[in-house]
Amino acid sequence: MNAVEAMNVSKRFGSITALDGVSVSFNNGVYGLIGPNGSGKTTFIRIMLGLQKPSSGKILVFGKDPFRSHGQVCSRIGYLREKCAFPKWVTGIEYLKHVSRLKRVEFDQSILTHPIVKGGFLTRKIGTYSAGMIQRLGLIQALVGDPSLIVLDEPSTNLDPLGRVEMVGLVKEIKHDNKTIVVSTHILEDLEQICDFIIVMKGGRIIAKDSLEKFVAGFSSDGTLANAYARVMGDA
Amino acid sequence: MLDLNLESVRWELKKLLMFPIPEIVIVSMIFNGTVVLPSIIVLPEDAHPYVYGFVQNILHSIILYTFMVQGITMGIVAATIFAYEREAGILDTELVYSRSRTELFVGKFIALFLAGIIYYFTVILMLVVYNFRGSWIIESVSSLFSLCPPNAGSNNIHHIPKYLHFNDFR
Ligand SMILES: Nc1ncnc2c1ncn2[C@@H]1O[C@H](COP(=O)(O)OP(=O)(O)OP(=O)(O)O)[C@@H](O)[C@H]1O
Ligand SMILES: [Mg+2]
Repeated sequence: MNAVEAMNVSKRFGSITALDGVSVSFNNGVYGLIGPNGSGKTTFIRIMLGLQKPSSGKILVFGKDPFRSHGQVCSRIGYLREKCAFPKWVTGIEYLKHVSRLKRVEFDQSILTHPIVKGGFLTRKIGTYSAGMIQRLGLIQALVGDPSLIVLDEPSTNLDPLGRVEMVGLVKEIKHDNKTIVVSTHILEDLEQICDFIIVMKGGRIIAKDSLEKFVAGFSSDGTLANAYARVMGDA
Repeated sequence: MLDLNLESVRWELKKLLMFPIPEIVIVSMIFNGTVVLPSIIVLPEDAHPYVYGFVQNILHSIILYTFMVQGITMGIVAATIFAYEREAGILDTELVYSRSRTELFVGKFIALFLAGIIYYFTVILMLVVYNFRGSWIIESVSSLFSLCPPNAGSNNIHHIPKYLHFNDFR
């Protein structure tokens, strides 16, 4: 069974067509979702999580409709929202404990020592965090409960150069055989290091999907993902 | 069956009992419940004279009016929190954590209900203590032993602060 199976999914907001017949399936591995601003990446992710309902088409996550069986699906998902926000009045640690209790899992102390949250800021109130610290908390909360599908919408946002390296390290570390990781980002250099498959979206459609090696080999003249991406965008 | 997660109730309750919400709710309940509403809402004239002061000042001014004000204030507070969390995207993340949408919203509702009870009894207690400043209990007990006849000394109605006197507003 595929972790995610989208069949001809469309989403319209009034006159805007955000998704236009998207069919894709995600299995084990890291999937990089790329495309220009407004191409429908976030909309697809939200539909996948059951936060929005598709206008037409069908999507199954772990074999279930994520909108109808919201809880059963989401208990196996870790999610970092784009422009993530957390309550300002608790400390990072209290928040992570709250998340574990909501997900009904044992709180795993070891995440507190992860390099992505080093520097001891987790003991401070979230209201005092810098943008990058909030992003780091967002990354670590997506791992609570050891989910089998991890969805990271723009994980590199606000991270310092070392933070980006740590984010890449984190994805590499959690990428086991039985995990599906979906990363939507504009930082192609990060993606190059972590992803197995590339999905390129434009105007609500998928215009290319392939394994990273094949995609780069097929479109790039200098062996970089950025070059291949530019080429695909030019052709499309 | 709804499998309620107590953590979500605890979390919401904590949020509703945190600065500045108690301040807003309690001040609004006391001010609007004892000053504003009693001055604009008129009681029927034929209340029994003996219970007049008691009914007007306690049962009516405090219990009924503060209750009305509380409904409105807590409603506004809850709607504001909800709107903020939705706008900021906190709600999305919360939805992904939860076992079901129903569970999340029922948790929020139960917390609002519990916070309402806590605020209500806090305000009633504050107003009762303020109105009688303790003398009511002392006088009641002492009058039982005729140490201090109710009419000779202070009548407890005089202890009620001036602005709580319902007749003044007419
Ligand atoms: N709630 C909404 N109401 C109306 N239009 C929306 C809504 N959400 C998204 N859209 C539109 O849907 C399209 C796709 O948006 P989406 O956020 O999915 O893009 P994206 O690929 O994530 O872009 P970015 O790279 O900038 O994050 C855009 O044209 C956007 O304006
Ligand atoms: Mg987006």
